[in-house]
Amino acid sequence: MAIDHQTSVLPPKLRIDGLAKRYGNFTALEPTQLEVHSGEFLTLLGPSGSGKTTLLQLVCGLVDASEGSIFIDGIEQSNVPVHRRDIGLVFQHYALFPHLTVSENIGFPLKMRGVPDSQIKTRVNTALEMVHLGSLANRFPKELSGGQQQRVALARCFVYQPSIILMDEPLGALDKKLRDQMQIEIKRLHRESGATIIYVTHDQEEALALSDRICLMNHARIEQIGTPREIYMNPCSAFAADFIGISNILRGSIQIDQNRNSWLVTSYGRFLLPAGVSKEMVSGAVVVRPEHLTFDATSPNTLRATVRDLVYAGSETRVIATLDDGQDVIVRQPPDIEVPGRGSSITLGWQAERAVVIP
Amino acid sequence: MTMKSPKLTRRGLIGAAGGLTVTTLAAPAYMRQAFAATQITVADPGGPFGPAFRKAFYDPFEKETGNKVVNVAREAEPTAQFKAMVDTKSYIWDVCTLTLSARDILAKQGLLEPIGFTIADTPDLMPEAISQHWLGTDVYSTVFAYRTDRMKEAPKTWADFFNVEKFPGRRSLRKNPIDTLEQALLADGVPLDKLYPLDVDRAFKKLNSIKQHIAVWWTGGAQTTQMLQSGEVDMISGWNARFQSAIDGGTPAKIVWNQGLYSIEGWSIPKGCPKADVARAFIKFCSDPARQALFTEGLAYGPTNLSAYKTIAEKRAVDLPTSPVNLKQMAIADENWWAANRSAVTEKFNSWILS
Amino acid sequence: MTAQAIKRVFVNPLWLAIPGILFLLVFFVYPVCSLLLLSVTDPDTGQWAVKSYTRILNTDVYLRVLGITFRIAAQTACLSLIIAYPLAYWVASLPERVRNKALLLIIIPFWTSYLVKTFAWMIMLGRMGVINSILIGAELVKEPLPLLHNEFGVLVGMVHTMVPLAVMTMLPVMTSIDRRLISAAQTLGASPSKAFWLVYFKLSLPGVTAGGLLVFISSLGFFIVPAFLGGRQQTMLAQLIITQVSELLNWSFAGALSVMMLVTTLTAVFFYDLIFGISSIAGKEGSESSHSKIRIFGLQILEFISTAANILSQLSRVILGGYVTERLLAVFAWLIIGFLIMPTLLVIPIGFTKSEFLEFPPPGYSLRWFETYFNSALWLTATSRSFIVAFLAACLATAFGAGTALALAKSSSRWAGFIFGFFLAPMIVPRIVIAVGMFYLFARIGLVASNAGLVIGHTVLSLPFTVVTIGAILKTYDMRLDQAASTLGANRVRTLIHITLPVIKGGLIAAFLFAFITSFDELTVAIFISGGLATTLPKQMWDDMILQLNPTLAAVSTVVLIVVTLLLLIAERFRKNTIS
Repeated sequence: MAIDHQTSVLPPKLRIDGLAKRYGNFTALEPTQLEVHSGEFLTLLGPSGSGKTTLLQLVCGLVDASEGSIFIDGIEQSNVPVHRRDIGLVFQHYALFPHLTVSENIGFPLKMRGVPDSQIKTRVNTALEMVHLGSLANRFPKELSGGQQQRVALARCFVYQPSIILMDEPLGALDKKLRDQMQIEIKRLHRESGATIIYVTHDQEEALALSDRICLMNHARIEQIGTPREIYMNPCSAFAADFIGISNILRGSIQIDQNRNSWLVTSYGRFLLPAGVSKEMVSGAVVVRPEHLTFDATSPNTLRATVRDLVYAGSETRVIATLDDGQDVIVRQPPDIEVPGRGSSITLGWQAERAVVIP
Repeated sequence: MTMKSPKLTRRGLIGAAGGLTVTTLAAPAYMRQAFAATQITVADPGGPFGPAFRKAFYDPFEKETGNKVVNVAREAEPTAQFKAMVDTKSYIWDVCTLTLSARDILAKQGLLEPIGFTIADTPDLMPEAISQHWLGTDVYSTVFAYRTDRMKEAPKTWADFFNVEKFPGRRSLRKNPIDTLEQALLADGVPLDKLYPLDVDRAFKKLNSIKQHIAVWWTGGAQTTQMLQSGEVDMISGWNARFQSAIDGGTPAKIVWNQGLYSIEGWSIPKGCPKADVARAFIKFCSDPARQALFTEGLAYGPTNLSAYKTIAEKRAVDLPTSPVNLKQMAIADENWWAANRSAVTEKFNSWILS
Repeated sequence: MTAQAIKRVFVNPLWLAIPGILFLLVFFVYPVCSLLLLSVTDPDTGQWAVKSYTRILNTDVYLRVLGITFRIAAQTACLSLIIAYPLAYWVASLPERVRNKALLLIIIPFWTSYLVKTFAWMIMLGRMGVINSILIGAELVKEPLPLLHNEFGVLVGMVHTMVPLAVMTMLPVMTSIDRRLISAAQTLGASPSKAFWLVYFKLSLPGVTAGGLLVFISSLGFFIVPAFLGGRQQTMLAQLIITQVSELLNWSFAGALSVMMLVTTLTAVFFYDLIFGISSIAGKEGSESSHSKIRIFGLQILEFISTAANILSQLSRVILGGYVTERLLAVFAWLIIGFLIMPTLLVIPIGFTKSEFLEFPPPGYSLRWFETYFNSALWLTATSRSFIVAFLAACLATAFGAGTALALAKSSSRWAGFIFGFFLAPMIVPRIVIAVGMFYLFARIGLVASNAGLVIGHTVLSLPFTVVTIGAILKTYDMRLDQAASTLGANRVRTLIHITLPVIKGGLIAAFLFAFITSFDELTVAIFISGGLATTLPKQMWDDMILQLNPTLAAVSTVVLIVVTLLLLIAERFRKNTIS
């Protein structure tokens, strides 16, 4: 009990209270609340212009807030200049100093902190080993590949063990394979260092793969916060459902029958909704993930469609089918299941409890 | 238009280089016309000389002979251009003003055409103002001037100029050995008529005594007018007309003619000039006293034909170097001595002034 | 030769430099060499002789003047950089639209002829001048301060002329620095002043070294400023060479003095290159090795400076407060702009004076000097000729310069460094030497007193400026853009026209303006080549100044200033329209 009590009074690593940013009439960030816990990997996910980079810049102090406060370890930060906030920032385009060698780049933050030269050397070497770049210590950034440059940028950030590390789409400029490798690398660095990381991306797969929690942003505000699983399984809006994973969304009005079951009435038919739909809702939509659709015509909820396309993706087969009014639905099937050919009429079904209701 | 000349003309060349600008590049219409007539190009010293000489010489000559005179400004010392012009036979000038020193340098190198008349043809001319290759048109004098509002007592000699105790004030001398050495010797008591050959060592010794007291070493004539007029210095050596224009403009200053050294500028023709005949006629025309009297209205320089004073007002005559009252206090600078010694003495002067 | 070898030769980017090289060979190298040949020719016998050189060594005066020349040029370069750097930094940090306006303010004083500016400084710094009158009037000093006719006066005049040059050289490099690197440095724990010195300053150094070299070498050739603003001790070598050529007619000795100046200048440039690496101006990345002692040493110096600056900035925050400290830069920049435009502003009222003299304040106002100007065919012709000649010379110099800079930036040939040095040569050889040599050549081919001769002469003088300016911007040009364009189907010519040139447009405009100004304000070559009927504006001003200094000069300057400002504004508008 004592331990529980203590954790509850320990302030979160980062707390954002009513933070907002406006440029004239343009709002880059609506007043926002957010807490990030020590050692957590939080991803700010959203389309471009959704305010995630603004939030990042506010946290590290490169931009002054219009209102609200930022607390790191419970200490208010608005009067702390950028270079005194104990924050690391990994830039999208790496921002390596072109006139410094790899090891000088990595040693830079240590030097700025007055670390003795002898220590700098060992810590830089450790950081270089950590990102597997030991042999390139004396190269200049322009002599490195994109992936190598990004590793240097990571090492430069991890080397001084800042209490929070911010990453602004750090993998945006890399190719897919390299990105996958680097994701694993970042994950490992996070695990080994125990650092608190706030990671900005517009790539939902990246967000799902890396994050402890995802903070989904849209229109300069936070749409939904939760673990990847929570957001995937329980999107709070059409935006959330659509942005994370592939969703089939069917809209209609909600009716409650005499058995107190809720139904969604659409032009494609009547669908049973999962239990616990709010009584107040009169219209809404149902989200069905592609893996929850089956070719089982005996399900309580069925949908008639025509197969438009088949995509074989190795680990699965995707069936893209068209409803009567032209809307596409996507079905995911294991590769060993026989799927109907292109142009054939099919009936799709799903279990009511697999679907999610959104406004 | 004679633009369609088959050979590649200068203008054609530019036309080929930048077709758009060919019309703007071609010389203005009035100039092209001038080329068509018989025309000589006269290089005068520019500035106020241009209008003064046009009134006194160019326009009357055009009227009388029908030949055109185009005047352009020449360098203070056009010897380099002159030499190259003759060497390469590209005569951009047909007549050019030369100082005595420039005349001697160029004559010695055989770069001048004879003017074709002598003192016998113009008896009232100052004897120094004519030679085989050159006719003096105007006399300028190296004197000093002082601010009457600053000097408690009026300096009258170069000895006064060099006497810093009795005549306190900011002084300026020319950053050039020419005239400056003479002035030092005059200050040291050498009589005006016994200056040459210059005792260079004695001159530098005297200059040593005043070196620290010279506030400004001037380099250009225009500077002397400006410094006298603005009050930058109280006493300054220089050419009389420069001081006169400051005085005419209302500056409280006075010229000291006593112990002045005068020199003469005049016309010469570059050797081999194809229009030498017209040029000679023009030069002869300029020896006329009435013509010379005309330019003194706009220029405080002295006519070389002393008969000119018959038609010059007394009030103006006192401001001119060759008026009888001024001329008798002065002597002519010896260009021959300078021609022989200038290079070495200049070197010595440059060394002295830096140390 | 195999087909591949042929292809390699033709595709070699150095071909782009060929037109410029040929141009310089004919109109620069040949005239100068024939003049330098004179230095080892006995003027009387025409035999080989070294007596001009023994004469230099027999006295210490020429070596001393050489020393003075180098000292003043070095001081001018240092002061100009110190003053120009914060100004350029400030301008570079402005949003682009405001930046161009601020740049206009810095360039405009450039359009006042330096002859006129020199006289303006005499009026300001003199014993009875504007500054002393104000100081005495305010009872701050009892005796007038000695501001003129000494080294201070010379430095004011020269630095004033050179600051715009330094700003314009540094600016393209500064605007191309990625400002995110500063943010990066700050998030990594560098204080603002450390981030500036260790990152921004270091990255702007190519511009600083280029600017320093340009200013230093241009300063070596000054003769009007030391003559009018200097005192007894401020004699510079160009003055002596001019005396030898134009007064004493001793071309052989003038040639020898030129050789002396040339050799020492080249030596200085060699050491400069060794220390600062001017090959970076050529658009080459410095091939500095990561262990180079000079590099490490340089970084340590910066470290030291940044620590000192850090303390200073904290002190200033304590003493002046954060608000003032943050605005110090802008205040300083405006002060410098004031310093730059002051002589120009002084000239305008003098143009409207009713006095016969250049005096300030004018005793009364009239339009008489403008009437004099507009009624004089001589002045008007000279004005229009100067504009046309400057425009054509700037076009030629920018074209040759762009070709050469591109060639150098793309080439990895070991000849590149040599070619770059070759194009800098017209800047290093005293103008008087070039001018006299050209006069000889042009007289033989009938180009004396012609517009073509002037255009050629001014193109030679402007070429170094355009090569350096365009080279500096190309250094930051991403060559991958060319590759991108060629993969998108553009051939070399189209790539050049549609990609490279638009991207380096800023550098091209700067180069064009440099060349235009160089030609428009050029006197030395004009004195020799323009004479006669083809007189340029500076030549006409100079002629007028020699004999009679009157406010026509100020009136002319005012008219030129207005015309040029309008032209610049139109050019700016035009540029903006083409973008949108």
